[in-house]
Amino acid sequence: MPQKYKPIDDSPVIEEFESTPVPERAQKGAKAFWGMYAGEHAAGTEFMIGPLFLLAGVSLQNIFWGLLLGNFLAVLSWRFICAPIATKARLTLYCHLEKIAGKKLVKIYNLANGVLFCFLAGAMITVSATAVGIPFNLEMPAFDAIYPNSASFIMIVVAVGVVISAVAGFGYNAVSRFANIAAPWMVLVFLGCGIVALKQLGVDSWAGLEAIWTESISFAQGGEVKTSMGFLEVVLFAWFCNAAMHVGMSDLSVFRYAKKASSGWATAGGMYVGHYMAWIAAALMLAAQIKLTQSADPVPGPMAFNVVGIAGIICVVVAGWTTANPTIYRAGLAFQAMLPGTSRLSMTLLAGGIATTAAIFPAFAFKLLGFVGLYGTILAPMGAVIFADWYLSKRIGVTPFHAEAIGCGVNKSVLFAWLIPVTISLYFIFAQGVTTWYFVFPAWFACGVLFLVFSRLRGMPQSSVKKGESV
Amino acid sequence: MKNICKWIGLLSIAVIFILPLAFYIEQITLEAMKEGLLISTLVWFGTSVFWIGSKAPKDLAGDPIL
Repeated sequence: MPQKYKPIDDSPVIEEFESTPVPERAQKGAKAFWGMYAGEHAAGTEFMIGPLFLLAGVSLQNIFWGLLLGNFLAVLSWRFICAPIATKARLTLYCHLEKIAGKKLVKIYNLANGVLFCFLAGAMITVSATAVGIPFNLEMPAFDAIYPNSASFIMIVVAVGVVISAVAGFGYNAVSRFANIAAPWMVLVFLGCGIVALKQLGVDSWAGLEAIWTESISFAQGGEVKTSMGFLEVVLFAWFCNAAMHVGMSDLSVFRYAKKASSGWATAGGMYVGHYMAWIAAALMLAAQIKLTQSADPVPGPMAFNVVGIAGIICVVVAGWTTANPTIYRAGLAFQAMLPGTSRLSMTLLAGGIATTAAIFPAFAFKLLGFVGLYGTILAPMGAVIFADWYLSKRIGVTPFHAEAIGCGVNKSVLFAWLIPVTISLYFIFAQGVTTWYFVFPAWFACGVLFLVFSRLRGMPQSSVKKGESV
Repeated sequence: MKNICKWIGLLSIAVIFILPLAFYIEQITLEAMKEGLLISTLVWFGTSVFWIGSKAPKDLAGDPIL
């Protein structure tokens, strides 16, 4: 029977098909996915990511072409890696992974997910707080700030965090509905921000825009023009910033409702609206702010206020709020899965507390480019296990859905295939200071190969394994 | 009522699209554009609650959106 989810507010009971394949009657055409992706990827973090490209000294050409290609690769990943499996298996990521990796290992993966969700939600709360602080003339933290710059900033972040956490705990469905309403409006406000910023820059040609862009980088970098991101880095960032969702297979949960795998093309709506138009618009907003106010701090609230006024403030608050909310909600669910017996409300509030604490430190928001790569490096490799299990396991004599077949809690082949490449990647990221998004694909690929190798090496006749035993 | 709200809402969203373009081609001032955007925003939220998304979300699983 499909699992039924009863929200705690008065919304109707809805079928989620958490542990069973989505039946034909609940499947949807591609049209449903275009709007969903276009709306959902115009989020609070877009206000942060776009300006960070300027501060990283990325050339205008590399932004336009790099994002074009990187987003296309992301769309291809959704279309040809995630959607085909989703439309055949029709299971959520967790349900699918549980059959391969075992219940206990999925809980550990879920916990990693939950913790990373909290930090992402923290960045979104910071984004919202920068807008809420404007009417109070709050001095915003500078770009290189690690710690909060004033007690007022902490108070506003805590106030925003408490409201968001409480709403996530008590009225998630109302926020989801509000997010649906806000989505088309937000997309147009993002577009408007870009158009107005372009006008404020006072350019009428590509050459003029390039010149003022270079001047902005020079101003932001104190007179120098040096870049920490070339074309390849921009492509990799755009491709893998949602790695956990496409190659990481998190969107199995979404595309299990699609009638055909071709619905995967609908992700182009999200990529080219949210991760192309919105990023470029936000980057232009910072360039305009540098020109008009000589401030290179990429603080979303004031930037949006400069170009489109109070509507911009509302947009920053709403964008941060509507995306932080489900993130905290999902983190709460992840924690609850780890600690059976606890209530969802208490775990959601715990997740909200962690997110709010993280939000107090602006470094989490200002280092978002690196954090997003880290997020993909840790979570996406599990998608390779699903990919390898689905397409290759039978060919090399490994039982698909191995954990389900023998009833084990932790499939050690999956555990070590995940831990080894992730640990090596984390060593290079933290000890050697290598950029995070170089590691997403190598870790993903290595995880898939190691899973097959370990499964083959550890392959034993099923009869020799007792049901319930770890393998 | 629902239909009226729908048309007013769609009109407001069209205005949100047009105002920045009007500023870009110098047909309105920055201040007028900002005021117009704020009014249109209020109209959009005031009317769209009557016709958008009266059903609960279909899916609560998945990752945060970036």
